[in-house]
Amino acid sequence: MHKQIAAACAAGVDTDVVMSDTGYRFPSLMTQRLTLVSPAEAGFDAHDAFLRIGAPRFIDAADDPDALWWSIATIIGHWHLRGYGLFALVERSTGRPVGMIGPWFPKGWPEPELSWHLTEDARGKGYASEAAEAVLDWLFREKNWSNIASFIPEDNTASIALAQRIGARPEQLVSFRLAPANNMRTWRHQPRQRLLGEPVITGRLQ
Amino acid sequence: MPSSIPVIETKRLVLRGPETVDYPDFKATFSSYRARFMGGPLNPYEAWMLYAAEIGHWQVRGFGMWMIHDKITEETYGMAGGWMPAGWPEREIAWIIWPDAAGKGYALEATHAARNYYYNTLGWDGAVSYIDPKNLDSIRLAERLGAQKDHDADTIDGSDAVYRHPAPNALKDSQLIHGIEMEISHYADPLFKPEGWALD
Repeated sequence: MHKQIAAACAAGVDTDVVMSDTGYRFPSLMTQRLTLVSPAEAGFDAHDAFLRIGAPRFIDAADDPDALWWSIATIIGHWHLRGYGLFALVERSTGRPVGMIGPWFPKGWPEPELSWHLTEDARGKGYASEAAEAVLDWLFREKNWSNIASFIPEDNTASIALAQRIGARPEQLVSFRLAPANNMRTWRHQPRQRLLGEPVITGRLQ
Repeated sequence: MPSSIPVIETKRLVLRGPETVDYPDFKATFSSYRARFMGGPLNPYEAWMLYAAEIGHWQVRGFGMWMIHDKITEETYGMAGGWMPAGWPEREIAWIIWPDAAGKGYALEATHAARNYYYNTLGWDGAVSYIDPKNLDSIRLAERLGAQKDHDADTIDGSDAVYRHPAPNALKDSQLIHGIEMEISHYADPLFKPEGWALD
């Protein structure tokens, strides 16, 4: 009996599945030693790069595998929602993922932030500045941004040195509810042409 | 890794991947009391990050939650699909319906289509739904879908009940499936009264 009833209404409940190309295309950048790829790009295997057992660790709190999973999922979603986000850094000579860098602007952030994370063994090779130059060039030339900030804790001397090396200028201390530290200063990155004729200020303004 | 998120059309609905334009609808519900059984209400940062994770989930897992749209008006009614973030013991069929759209059978229609897709297209051998024991509407829907409480299964954090969906073989051409499809037809056309429809 139930089959006959179902047959009577089956025509109306047919389910139709179609695959559609959402048309998303995310940029990738190339430097001398690194490829910068968006982890939102369809071909990118985020699980293999970051989430499998033994994958390189570089994000704060990555000791908690659950937190890392959520970080990677949100980093990918950020690209879809904003059209930009953190690139995965891949060492060209080995194909190994060595970190992430890019503009980060979740709801609740005061402004887009250029943020970077490197694996332990990829530090000290100039990878961060090489990647940062590429990302800044992309933001200023392709995306037509006029500036972007980094929020750096006052005691993070390595990141401050990097910010200075790539021409960022220190501004005021910054605090916001979601800030990961309470002693952060805004460092502002500038398009290269604006730096011409003006000395880069390397001291603190306050 | 799906190069795109599948689009599923049902009688009244179209299920599509979550998009930027749909975010305000998502945020409205997840920052409201309605989200109390889904870890909410969330603040703006949490809601935005969860929405980003809904999208990232598709890439990391190869499946995820669809946004439920009205086929004609494009209006969104909620979300439904597969969900298995970090910490989930098993693949879940999950759903949330915006408060204004409740009681119209949209969750049934969407979860039925989603489960069919995961069983028939992706080859899942089963699924569960993790439900707050106080969430009676969701428990009712799980039972209409044929899911039964599994007292032995691992929970997410001990505060949720596990409802186990029938395996694909048990569903195929079953009375349950025909009943679900008849119920959906009835929602879509309240005048639909096939022979044998119980009138009491």
